[in-house]
Amino acid sequence: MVPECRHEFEVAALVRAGRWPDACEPGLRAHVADCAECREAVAVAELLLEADRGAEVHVPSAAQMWWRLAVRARLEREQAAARPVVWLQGIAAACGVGVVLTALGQVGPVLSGAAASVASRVTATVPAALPAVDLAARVPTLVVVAGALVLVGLGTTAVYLWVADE
Amino acid sequence: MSDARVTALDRLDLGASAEQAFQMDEDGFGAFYERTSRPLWLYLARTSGDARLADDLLHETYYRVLRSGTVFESDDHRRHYLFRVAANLVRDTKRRHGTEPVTAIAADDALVDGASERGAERAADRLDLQRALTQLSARERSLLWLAYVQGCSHEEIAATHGVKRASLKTLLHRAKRRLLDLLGPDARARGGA
Repeated sequence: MVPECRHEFEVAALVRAGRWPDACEPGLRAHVADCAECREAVAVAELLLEADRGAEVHVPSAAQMWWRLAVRARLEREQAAARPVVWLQGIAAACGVGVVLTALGQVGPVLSGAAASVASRVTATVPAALPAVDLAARVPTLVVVAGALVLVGLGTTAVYLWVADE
Repeated sequence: MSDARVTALDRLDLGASAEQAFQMDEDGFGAFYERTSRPLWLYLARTSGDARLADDLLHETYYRVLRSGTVFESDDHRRHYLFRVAANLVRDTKRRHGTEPVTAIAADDALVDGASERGAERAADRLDLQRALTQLSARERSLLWLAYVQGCSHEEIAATHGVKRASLKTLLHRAKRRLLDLLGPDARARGGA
Protein backbone atom coordinates (compact mmCIF):
# COMPACT_ATOMS: atom_id res chain seq x y z
CA MET A 1 0.00 0.00 0.00
CA VAL A 2 1.43 3.35 -1.05
CA PRO A 3 1.27 6.01 1.64
CA GLU A 4 -0.95 8.83 0.47
CA CYS A 5 -1.99 12.22 1.76
CA ARG A 6 -4.88 14.25 0.39
CA HIS A 7 -2.97 17.49 1.14
CA GLU A 8 0.03 16.56 -0.99
CA PHE A 9 -1.13 18.28 -4.18
CA GLU A 10 -2.51 21.23 -2.26
CA VAL A 11 0.88 21.81 -0.69
CA ALA A 12 2.63 21.44 -4.05
CA ALA A 13 0.23 24.03 -5.50
CA LEU A 14 1.17 26.45 -2.72
CA VAL A 15 4.85 25.96 -3.52
CA ARG A 16 4.13 26.64 -7.22
CA ALA A 17 2.22 29.79 -6.32
CA GLY A 18 5.11 30.98 -4.13
CA ARG A 19 2.89 30.92 -1.06
CA TRP A 20 4.83 28.27 0.85
CA PRO A 21 5.54 28.50 3.76
CA ASP A 22 4.87 32.12 4.70
CA ALA A 23 1.48 32.72 3.08
CA CYS A 24 0.09 29.36 4.11
CA GLU A 25 -2.43 28.52 6.82
CA PRO A 26 -0.74 27.59 10.13
CA GLY A 27 -2.87 24.44 10.30
CA LEU A 28 -1.52 23.18 7.01
CA ARG A 29 2.03 24.06 8.02
CA ALA A 30 1.62 22.02 11.17
CA HIS A 31 0.25 19.12 9.12
CA VAL A 32 3.22 19.19 6.76
CA ALA A 33 5.61 19.15 9.69
CA ASP A 34 4.07 15.80 10.74
CA CYS A 35 3.40 14.30 7.30
CA ALA A 36 6.29 12.63 5.47
CA GLU A 37 4.42 12.55 2.16
CA CYS A 38 3.75 16.29 2.22
CA ARG A 39 7.29 17.10 3.29
CA GLU A 40 8.62 15.10 0.36
CA ALA A 41 6.16 16.80 -1.97
CA VAL A 42 7.37 20.20 -0.82
CA ALA A 43 11.00 19.17 -1.25
CA VAL A 44 10.50 17.79 -4.76
CA ALA A 45 8.33 20.72 -5.89
CA GLU A 46 10.85 23.27 -4.58
CA LEU A 47 13.77 21.50 -6.23
CA LEU A 48 12.12 21.15 -9.61
CA LEU A 49 10.62 24.63 -9.65
CA GLU A 50 13.88 26.22 -8.65
CA ALA A 51 15.69 24.35 -11.41
CA ASP A 52 13.09 25.50 -13.94
CA ARG A 53 13.20 29.12 -12.78
CA GLY A 54 16.96 29.21 -13.22
CA ALA A 55 17.02 27.46 -16.59
CA GLU A 56 18.00 29.29 -19.74
CA VAL A 57 15.25 28.79 -22.30
CA HIS A 58 15.43 30.02 -25.88
CA VAL A 59 12.21 29.28 -27.68
CA PRO A 60 11.23 30.88 -31.00
CA SER A 61 8.85 33.82 -30.81
CA ALA A 62 5.12 33.14 -31.27
CA ALA A 63 5.21 34.79 -34.70
CA GLN A 64 8.16 32.66 -35.83
CA MET A 65 6.51 29.49 -34.60
CA TRP A 66 3.19 30.37 -36.27
CA TRP A 67 5.01 31.05 -39.52
CA ARG A 68 6.86 27.72 -39.43
CA LEU A 69 3.69 25.82 -38.59
CA ALA A 70 1.81 27.58 -41.39
CA VAL A 71 4.52 26.75 -43.94
CA ARG A 72 4.53 23.13 -42.84
CA ALA A 73 0.74 22.90 -43.06
CA ARG A 74 0.84 24.30 -46.58
CA LEU A 75 3.60 21.92 -47.71
CA GLU A 76 1.68 18.95 -46.35
CA ARG A 77 -1.47 20.13 -48.07
CA GLU A 78 0.39 20.45 -51.37
CA GLN A 79 1.92 17.02 -50.97
CA ALA A 80 -1.52 15.56 -50.29
CA ALA A 81 -2.90 17.28 -53.38
CA ALA A 82 -0.04 16.01 -55.56
CA ARG A 83 -0.44 12.40 -54.42
CA PRO A 84 -3.09 11.48 -57.06
CA VAL A 85 -0.86 12.94 -59.79
CA VAL A 86 2.03 10.77 -58.62
CA TRP A 87 -0.26 7.75 -58.74
CA LEU A 88 -1.34 8.73 -62.24
CA GLN A 89 2.27 8.98 -63.32
CA GLY A 90 2.95 5.54 -61.91
CA ILE A 91 -0.03 4.05 -63.76
CA ALA A 92 1.05 5.77 -66.99
CA ALA A 93 4.57 4.40 -66.61
CA ALA A 94 3.23 0.88 -65.98
CA CYS A 95 1.00 1.16 -69.08
CA GLY A 96 3.99 2.34 -71.08
CA VAL A 97 6.06 -0.67 -70.00
CA GLY A 98 3.15 -2.96 -70.87
CA VAL A 99 2.78 -1.48 -74.34
CA VAL A 100 6.51 -1.73 -75.01
CA LEU A 101 6.54 -5.37 -73.95
CA THR A 102 3.53 -6.12 -76.18
CA ALA A 103 5.19 -4.32 -79.07
CA LEU A 104 8.35 -6.35 -78.58
CA GLY A 105 6.27 -9.50 -78.60
CA GLN A 106 4.75 -8.50 -81.92
CA VAL A 107 7.89 -7.24 -83.61
CA GLY A 108 10.20 -9.91 -82.18
CA PRO A 109 9.43 -12.68 -84.68
CA VAL A 110 9.79 -10.26 -87.59
CA LEU A 111 13.18 -9.05 -86.33
CA SER A 112 14.43 -12.53 -85.62
CA GLY A 113 13.31 -13.67 -89.09
CA ALA A 114 15.12 -10.76 -90.71
CA ALA A 115 18.22 -11.41 -88.65
CA ALA A 116 18.23 -15.03 -89.68
CA SER A 117 17.86 -14.01 -93.30
CA VAL A 118 20.77 -11.55 -93.09
CA ALA A 119 22.89 -14.15 -91.39
CA SER A 120 22.15 -16.65 -94.06
CA ARG A 121 23.05 -14.15 -96.81
CA VAL A 122 26.30 -13.23 -95.13
CA THR A 123 27.40 -16.76 -94.80
CA ALA A 124 26.20 -17.33 -98.38
CA THR A 125 27.47 -20.83 -98.40
CA VAL A 126 24.14 -22.15 -99.32
CA PRO A 127 22.06 -19.46 -100.99
CA ALA A 128 18.57 -19.77 -99.81
CA ALA A 129 15.45 -17.73 -99.95
CA LEU A 130 14.50 -15.48 -97.04
CA PRO A 131 11.99 -16.99 -94.67
CA ALA A 132 8.57 -16.12 -95.78
CA VAL A 133 7.58 -13.24 -93.50
CA ASP A 134 4.30 -11.67 -94.34
CA LEU A 135 5.19 -8.05 -93.52
CA ALA A 136 2.09 -6.76 -95.20
CA ALA A 137 -0.06 -8.61 -92.64
CA ARG A 138 1.93 -7.13 -89.74
CA VAL A 139 1.63 -3.49 -90.80
CA PRO A 140 -1.69 -2.71 -89.00
CA THR A 141 -0.37 -4.10 -85.69
CA LEU A 142 2.84 -2.11 -86.00
CA VAL A 143 0.91 1.06 -86.68
CA VAL A 144 -1.27 0.51 -83.58
CA VAL A 145 1.77 -0.20 -81.40
CA ALA A 146 3.64 2.84 -82.69
CA GLY A 147 0.57 5.00 -82.14
CA ALA A 148 0.16 3.73 -78.58
CA LEU A 149 3.83 4.42 -77.86
CA VAL A 150 3.49 7.97 -79.15
CA LEU A 151 0.36 8.50 -77.06
CA VAL A 152 1.98 7.19 -73.88
CA GLY A 153 5.03 9.36 -74.51
CA LEU A 154 2.92 12.43 -75.07
CA GLY A 155 0.70 11.68 -72.07
CA THR A 156 3.64 11.21 -69.71
CA THR A 157 5.26 14.41 -70.98
CA ALA A 158 1.98 16.32 -70.52
CA VAL A 159 1.58 15.06 -66.91
CA TYR A 160 5.22 15.92 -66.20
CA LEU A 161 4.84 19.45 -67.59
CA TRP A 162 1.62 19.95 -65.62
CA VAL A 163 3.23 18.85 -62.34
CA ALA A 164 6.36 20.93 -62.99
CA ASP A 165 4.18 23.96 -63.70
CA GLU A 166 2.18 23.46 -60.46
CA MET B 1 10.79 28.32 -49.20
CA SER B 2 13.02 31.20 -48.15
CA ASP B 3 11.64 34.29 -46.44
CA ALA B 4 13.24 36.53 -49.08
CA ARG B 5 11.07 35.03 -51.82
CA VAL B 6 7.84 35.36 -49.91
CA THR B 7 5.73 38.31 -50.94
CA ALA B 8 3.21 40.08 -48.72
CA LEU B 9 0.44 38.40 -50.69
CA ASP B 10 1.97 34.96 -50.03
CA ARG B 11 2.18 35.79 -46.36
CA LEU B 12 -1.46 36.83 -46.28
CA ASP B 13 -2.50 33.70 -48.14
CA LEU B 14 -0.33 31.52 -45.91
CA GLY B 15 -1.81 33.07 -42.78
CA ALA B 16 -5.37 32.58 -44.02
CA SER B 17 -4.78 28.97 -45.03
CA ALA B 18 -3.07 28.28 -41.67
CA GLU B 19 -6.01 29.72 -39.76
CA GLN B 20 -8.31 27.48 -41.75
CA ALA B 21 -6.14 24.39 -41.20
CA PHE B 22 -5.55 25.03 -37.50
CA GLN B 23 -9.01 26.34 -36.59
CA MET B 24 -7.22 29.06 -34.61
CA ASP B 25 -6.11 32.56 -35.50
CA GLU B 26 -2.59 33.90 -35.10
CA ASP B 27 -3.44 36.09 -32.12
CA GLY B 28 -5.10 33.23 -30.27
CA PHE B 29 -2.11 31.03 -30.96
CA GLY B 30 0.27 33.78 -29.85
CA ALA B 31 -1.42 34.13 -26.47
CA PHE B 32 -1.51 30.37 -25.94
CA TYR B 33 2.12 30.02 -27.04
CA GLU B 34 3.35 32.79 -24.74
CA ARG B 35 1.77 31.02 -21.78
CA THR B 36 2.93 27.52 -22.61
CA SER B 37 6.12 27.53 -24.68
CA ARG B 38 8.60 27.97 -21.84
CA PRO B 39 7.12 25.33 -19.50
CA LEU B 40 6.59 23.00 -22.44
CA TRP B 41 10.19 23.34 -23.63
CA LEU B 42 11.45 22.72 -20.11
CA TYR B 43 9.21 19.69 -19.78
CA LEU B 44 10.46 18.31 -23.10
CA ALA B 45 14.09 19.03 -22.23
CA ARG B 46 13.80 17.47 -18.76
CA THR B 47 11.93 14.38 -19.78
CA SER B 48 13.84 13.69 -22.99
CA GLY B 49 17.10 14.75 -21.38
CA ASP B 50 18.15 16.45 -24.61
CA ALA B 51 17.87 20.21 -25.10
CA ARG B 52 18.28 20.00 -28.88
CA LEU B 53 15.66 17.32 -29.18
CA ALA B 54 13.37 19.54 -27.12
CA ASP B 55 13.58 22.23 -29.83
CA ASP B 56 12.33 19.78 -32.47
CA LEU B 57 9.68 18.28 -30.24
CA LEU B 58 8.39 21.74 -29.32
CA HIS B 59 7.56 22.46 -32.96
CA GLU B 60 6.10 18.97 -33.46
CA THR B 61 3.94 19.21 -30.34
CA TYR B 62 2.31 22.50 -31.33
CA TYR B 63 1.80 21.24 -34.87
CA ARG B 64 0.04 18.09 -33.71
CA VAL B 65 -2.14 19.98 -31.26
CA LEU B 66 -3.17 22.49 -33.93
CA ARG B 67 -3.85 19.78 -36.51
CA SER B 68 -5.69 17.51 -34.11
CA GLY B 69 -9.06 19.10 -34.81
CA THR B 70 -9.94 18.63 -31.13
CA VAL B 71 -12.49 21.03 -29.69
CA PHE B 72 -11.13 22.34 -26.41
CA GLU B 73 -13.50 23.21 -23.59
CA SER B 74 -11.08 25.61 -21.95
CA ASP B 75 -7.53 26.87 -22.05
CA ASP B 76 -6.66 24.39 -19.29
CA HIS B 77 -7.99 21.56 -21.41
CA ARG B 78 -5.86 22.72 -24.34
CA ARG B 79 -2.82 23.02 -22.07
CA HIS B 80 -3.24 19.51 -20.69
CA TYR B 81 -3.72 18.16 -24.19
CA LEU B 82 -0.49 19.90 -25.19
CA PHE B 83 1.45 18.15 -22.44
CA ARG B 84 -0.21 14.86 -23.27
CA VAL B 85 0.95 15.11 -26.88
CA ALA B 86 4.42 16.11 -25.66
CA ALA B 87 4.62 13.11 -23.32
CA ASN B 88 3.63 10.76 -26.14
CA LEU B 89 6.18 12.31 -28.47
CA VAL B 90 8.98 11.90 -25.94
CA ARG B 91 7.95 8.30 -25.32
CA ASP B 92 7.83 7.51 -29.06
CA THR B 93 11.18 9.19 -29.65
CA LYS B 94 12.75 7.23 -26.81
CA ARG B 95 11.30 4.01 -28.20
CA ARG B 96 12.70 4.74 -31.64
CA HIS B 97 16.15 5.84 -30.59
CA GLY B 98 16.41 4.05 -27.28
CA THR B 99 19.17 6.26 -25.92
CA GLU B 100 19.05 8.75 -23.10
CA PRO B 101 21.65 11.35 -24.00
CA VAL B 102 20.96 13.55 -21.01
CA THR B 103 22.51 16.96 -21.59
CA ALA B 104 22.59 19.69 -19.03
CA ILE B 105 20.25 22.62 -19.53
CA ALA B 106 22.18 25.84 -19.17
CA ALA B 107 21.36 27.96 -16.17
CA ASP B 108 20.31 31.53 -16.74
CA ASP B 109 23.33 33.74 -16.00
CA ALA B 110 21.13 36.44 -14.58
CA LEU B 111 19.79 34.05 -11.98
CA VAL B 112 23.08 32.44 -11.06
CA ASP B 113 25.34 34.79 -9.21
CA GLY B 114 28.41 32.63 -8.91
CA ALA B 115 30.26 35.21 -6.86
CA SER B 116 27.91 35.11 -3.92
CA GLU B 117 27.84 32.20 -1.51
CA ARG B 118 24.12 31.68 -2.05
CA GLY B 119 24.60 31.73 -5.83
CA ALA B 120 27.33 29.11 -5.67
CA GLU B 121 25.17 26.98 -3.41
CA ARG B 122 22.27 27.20 -5.84
CA ALA B 123 24.48 26.32 -8.78
CA ALA B 124 25.76 23.28 -6.89
CA ASP B 125 22.18 22.25 -6.01
CA ARG B 126 21.19 22.56 -9.64
CA LEU B 127 24.11 20.41 -10.73
CA ASP B 128 23.21 17.76 -8.15
CA LEU B 129 19.64 17.80 -9.39
CA GLN B 130 20.77 17.43 -13.00
CA ARG B 131 22.86 14.44 -12.04
CA ALA B 132 20.05 12.87 -10.02
CA LEU B 133 17.57 13.37 -12.84
CA THR B 134 19.83 11.51 -15.24
CA GLN B 135 19.47 8.47 -12.97
CA LEU B 136 15.69 8.51 -13.33
CA SER B 137 13.85 7.06 -16.30
CA ALA B 138 12.13 9.37 -18.82
CA ARG B 139 8.79 8.29 -17.41
CA GLU B 140 9.79 9.07 -13.84
CA ARG B 141 10.99 12.52 -14.86
CA SER B 142 7.78 13.11 -16.76
CA LEU B 143 5.60 12.05 -13.83
CA LEU B 144 7.43 14.35 -11.42
CA TRP B 145 7.26 17.31 -13.76
CA LEU B 146 3.61 16.90 -14.59
CA ALA B 147 2.65 16.47 -10.95
CA TYR B 148 4.82 19.00 -9.16
CA VAL B 149 5.71 21.60 -11.77
CA GLN B 150 2.69 21.59 -14.08
CA GLY B 151 0.19 20.78 -11.36
CA CYS B 152 -1.63 18.13 -13.39
CA SER B 153 -4.10 15.96 -11.49
CA HIS B 154 -3.68 12.23 -10.98
CA GLU B 155 -6.36 11.59 -13.62
CA GLU B 156 -4.62 13.76 -16.20
CA ILE B 157 -1.22 12.20 -15.60
CA ALA B 158 -2.70 8.70 -15.68
CA ALA B 159 -4.38 9.48 -19.02
CA THR B 160 -1.18 10.99 -20.40
CA HIS B 161 0.87 7.91 -19.56
CA GLY B 162 -1.83 5.36 -20.22
CA VAL B 163 -1.77 3.87 -16.72
CA LYS B 164 -4.46 3.31 -14.10
CA ARG B 165 -4.87 5.86 -11.37
CA ALA B 166 -3.86 3.38 -8.65
CA SER B 167 -0.70 2.42 -10.56
CA LEU B 168 0.11 6.06 -11.11
CA LYS B 169 0.13 6.77 -7.38
CA THR B 170 2.65 4.00 -6.87
CA LEU B 171 4.80 5.15 -9.78
CA LEU B 172 4.73 8.76 -8.62
CA HIS B 173 5.54 7.81 -5.05
CA ARG B 174 8.51 5.72 -6.20
CA ALA B 175 9.80 8.43 -8.51
CA LYS B 176 9.62 11.01 -5.73
CA ARG B 177 11.40 8.73 -3.25
CA ARG B 178 14.05 7.81 -5.80
CA LEU B 179 14.85 11.42 -6.60
CA LEU B 180 15.14 12.36 -2.93
CA ASP B 181 17.26 9.29 -2.17
CA LEU B 182 19.61 10.22 -5.00
CA LEU B 183 19.90 13.79 -3.73
CA GLY B 184 20.61 12.77 -0.16
CA PRO B 185 19.33 13.95 3.24
CA ASP B 186 19.81 17.66 2.51
CA ALA B 187 17.17 17.58 -0.21
CA ARG B 188 14.69 15.78 2.03
CA ALA B 189 15.29 18.36 4.76
CA ARG B 190 14.04 21.13 2.44
CA GLY B 191 10.49 19.95 2.99
CA GLY B 192 10.54 20.91 6.65
CA ALA B 193 9.01 24.38 6.70
